[in-house]
Amino acid sequence: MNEEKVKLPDSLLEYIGQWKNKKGNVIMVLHKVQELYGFIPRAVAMEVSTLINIPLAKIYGIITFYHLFKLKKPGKYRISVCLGTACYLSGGNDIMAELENILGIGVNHTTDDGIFSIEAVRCLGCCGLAPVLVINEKVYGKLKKEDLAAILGRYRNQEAAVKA
Amino acid sequence: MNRYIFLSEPGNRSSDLFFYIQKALAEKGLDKKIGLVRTQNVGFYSSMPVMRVIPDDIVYKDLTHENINRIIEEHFIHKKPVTQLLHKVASPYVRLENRNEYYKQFRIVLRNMGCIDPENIRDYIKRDGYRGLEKILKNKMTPDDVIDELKISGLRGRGGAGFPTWKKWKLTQEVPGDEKYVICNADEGDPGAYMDRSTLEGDPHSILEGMTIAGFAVGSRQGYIYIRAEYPLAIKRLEIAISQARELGLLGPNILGTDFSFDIELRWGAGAFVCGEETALIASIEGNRGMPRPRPPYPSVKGLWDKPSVINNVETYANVPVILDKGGSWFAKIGTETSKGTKVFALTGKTKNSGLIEVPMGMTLREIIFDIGGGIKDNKKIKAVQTGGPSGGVIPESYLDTPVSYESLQKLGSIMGSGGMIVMDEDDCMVDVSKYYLQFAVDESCGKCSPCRIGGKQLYDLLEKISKGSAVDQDLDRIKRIGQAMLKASLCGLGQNTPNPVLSTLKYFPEEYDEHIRMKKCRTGKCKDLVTYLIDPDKCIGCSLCALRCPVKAITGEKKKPYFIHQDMCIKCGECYNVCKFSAVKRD
Amino acid sequence: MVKLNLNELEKLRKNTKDECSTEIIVSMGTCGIAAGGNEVYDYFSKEIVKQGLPDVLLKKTGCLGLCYIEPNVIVKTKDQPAILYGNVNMETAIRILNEHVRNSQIVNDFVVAMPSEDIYCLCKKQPEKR
Repeated sequence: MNEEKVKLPDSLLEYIGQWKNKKGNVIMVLHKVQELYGFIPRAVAMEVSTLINIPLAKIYGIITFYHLFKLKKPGKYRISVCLGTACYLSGGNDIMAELENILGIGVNHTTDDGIFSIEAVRCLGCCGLAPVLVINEKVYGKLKKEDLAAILGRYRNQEAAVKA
Repeated sequence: MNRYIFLSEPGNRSSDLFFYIQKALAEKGLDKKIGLVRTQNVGFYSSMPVMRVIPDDIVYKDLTHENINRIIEEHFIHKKPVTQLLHKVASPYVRLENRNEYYKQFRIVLRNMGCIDPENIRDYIKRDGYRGLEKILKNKMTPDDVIDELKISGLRGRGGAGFPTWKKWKLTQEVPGDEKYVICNADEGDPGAYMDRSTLEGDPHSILEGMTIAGFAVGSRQGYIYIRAEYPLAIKRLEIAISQARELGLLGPNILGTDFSFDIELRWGAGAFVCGEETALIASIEGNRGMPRPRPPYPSVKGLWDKPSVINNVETYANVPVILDKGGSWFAKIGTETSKGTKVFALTGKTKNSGLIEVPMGMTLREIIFDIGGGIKDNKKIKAVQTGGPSGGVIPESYLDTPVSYESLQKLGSIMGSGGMIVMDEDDCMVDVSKYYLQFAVDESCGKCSPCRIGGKQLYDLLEKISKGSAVDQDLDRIKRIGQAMLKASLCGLGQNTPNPVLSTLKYFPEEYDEHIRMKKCRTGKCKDLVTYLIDPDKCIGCSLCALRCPVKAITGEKKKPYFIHQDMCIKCGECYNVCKFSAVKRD
Repeated sequence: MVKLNLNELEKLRKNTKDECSTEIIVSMGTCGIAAGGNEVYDYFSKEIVKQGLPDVLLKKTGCLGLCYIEPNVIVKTKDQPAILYGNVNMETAIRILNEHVRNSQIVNDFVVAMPSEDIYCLCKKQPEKR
C-alpha cells in the first residue's frame, strides 16, 4: 500500500504526549482525533498506532466496534435524528423518512456537495422535546415533518451566502 | 405581603375562581397582605383545582365559594388551618416518616437540582455538600463503619438488578491488596432514559463525593467515571467539578488534611450500549472492544486491570453522601420493606408532562403516571407502561396499581432498570414496540456469544414476519423457545434480557399478536403492511383536503364528489386519516 | 484557592450560608439549553449590567426535571417565596425582569407550582428538617 505519512497537528501530539503512558489510552486518543478531523483518517490512525505503540489492527478493531467512531468524512452539517423510544413513539421514524426524502440520501450518508450527512442516534436525552434532531450542536425539538424543509433551507442559505 | 396563595386550576386559566378569591380577599382587607398567584401545577392532577398556602405549606382542595370564604376566615384571619379541606396525597404503600403529606415527589438524588450552580463547588458545600465525607473523616469512622451504615440504609444498586450496595463494597474491601478501583457507570444507554445525565449536569459533586466515600470504604486511591461521549455538557461540568474539588483538597492526596488520598479521572465511552454491562465497561476502560466476559470472577474481586473494583451507577453514588450525612436509619425509613429510598424516573412517552421525577419506592405506577405525569395526552387511553428500556418489559393498564419496587416489577416480567418509564397509549402497537426494542438489541449485540448474536436476529425476523402479516401460529412458540434459550445461555445481561420486551407484550397482549397473525390486521395502523386506507363515499363530501395533504398524490377526485385512494400508490402514512374532518377515511 | 482541612470545610459551609440577595436561576441542563435557556440567560446577564442591578445574582442550575416546560427560570427575592416560571421565552424574560425582579410583581400567568419535598429552597428559607 502506498500511503503518505501525515504530519499530525501539535495539539494532537501534545494530547498524545499526555496520555501516552496511561493504560487504556487508545479510546481517549481516538476521540481527540475525531474531534479534530470529524472522522478517523487511515493515515492518522497509522501515526497514532506508532506513537502509542498499539497495532493498527487493534485500533481498527476499536473503531469498528464503537458506533461513535467514523471512517468516512461526515457532511459539514451533521444531522442526527433521535430514534430513542420517546422520539420513536412521537414519530421520529417519519422525521427520518422525510429527511431522507428531502436530501435524497440514506442514513449514514453524505450529500454529494458534502454539506449534509444523516445519522440515527439513540436518545439525546431531550425526551421532553420529542421528536428531536440535532444539527451539529443545535437541537431542534417538538418537530413536525413540515418543519424540516425550512430548517434545512436555513443552512443551505447560509452556505450560499458564504460562497457568494 | 406575608402570605401567598398559589392557585392551580385545570385547563382554563381565567376562570372566575381566581377573581372570586381576589374579591373575597379584598373584602376582608387582606389583599395587601396576601398575594394571589395563578400557577400551572405539577403533581395534583387528580384533584384540581387546589390552592397552596405559602409559607404555611398547606394545600386545600374542594374550592367551592363557600369553602373559600371559610378558608379565608379560619386560616387567614384566625390562623387556624381548615382540617376538613386539607388535601393530602399520602400514598398507600409508601412509608415515609415525617414526610410532608402534600407532595408526591421526594428528592434525595435530585436534591440540589434548581438550587445550586453545578459549576460552583461553594454552592454544593453550602447545601451540606461534602458533609458525609467530612463526618467520616472527622469522626474517624473505619471502612467497616461506613459499610455498616450502608447496610443499615438498605441501599441497592440503582442501575438495574438491585444488588445491595454494601455487599458489593464489602466484597471488594475484603480482598487484600491496595490497588483497587472505584468505577462509576455513567454510560447511560437506555433510549428514553436520562436521569444520570441530569444528575451529572446538575450536581456533579454528589457523584464525586459518593465515589470518594466508596474509595474510603474499600481502600482504593483511584476512581474512574466511564461516561458517554454523547453527553458533552455533563463531561464539561464533571471536569470543572473535579478540578475545583482538587483545588480545595477534597480530591487528590491527603483529602482535608488527613492521610486518605483519592482521585478521579474520566474515561469516555464511544456509543456501545453493551458497555453498560460491568465487565464490558471494564474492557472499554482498559482500551479494548467493549465485550463482556463470563462471571465469576466478579469485578468486585477481579475487575479493572484484574484488580478488585467497585462498580456502581450514577444514581447509587448520588445517594451515598446523604446516607452518610443523615444516617442509614434515616434512609431506611423511606420506601418499602425491601426497596429503600427513592427512585428517579425519566417519565416520557404519551404523558402530558414528561420529565424527571423522583418518588419514594412504593408509589404506584398509577400515581406516577396520572398524578405527577398528568395522565395521557389528548385524552387518549393508556395501554401500557414500559420500564427498564430494551432489557425491560411492558406492564399493562390492569397492573398500574402495583407499588414500584425491585421485586414487584420483576414479578410482572419487567425490571426497575435504570429508570426509563415510557408510557404508551392506544395508538401504540405492541408488536411494533417489541420490534423497536429488538432492533435496538440486535444493533447493540457485541456478537461475542451466539445466543444473543443469533437469537436476537431470529426474534427480530419473526417479529418482522408478524408485522408483515406472513407469520403463522407456530411462530409464537418459536419466539418463546428462542427467548427461553437466550435467557438461559447468553453471556451477559444484554443478551439475557433481549427477549423481555417481546415476551412481556406476548404475555399481556396476546390478542394483538393474534390479530396480526390470523386476521392480518394492526388495530393501530403502525404495522403499515397490514393496513388499508379507504374513503367511505357516503361520508366524503369532496372537500379535497386529503388529496392536498397526500404526500404521494395517491388520492384523486372531483370537488364535492367522493374522492378515491389509489392503493397501488398509497404509502400508508395515515395523513388522510388524520386530516379528514368527516371521518370519511377508514383504516382497515 | 487554598486546600481545606476538616475544620475549614465546615467554616466555609457556614460562612457561605446566608447570602441573601435577589437571585435569578436559569435551568441549563441539555434540554434547558435546547429549549432556549441560553438566550434567556444571556438576556438577563446583559440587562443586569446594562440596568445596573448589582444586588441581583444570576445563576445557572441543572435540570429541574420539568422538560416539557423548559426553559425554566426561578426568581428568589428577599421577602417573597421563590417563584418558578415555565416556558420562559424572551418576552416572558423581559416581563420577569421588569415586573418581578425590579418591582416585586409576580408575573402571574407563567408560574409553575412544583410540589416536591426537597425543593424547600423554592418555598421555604430554612434548611432541610432533620
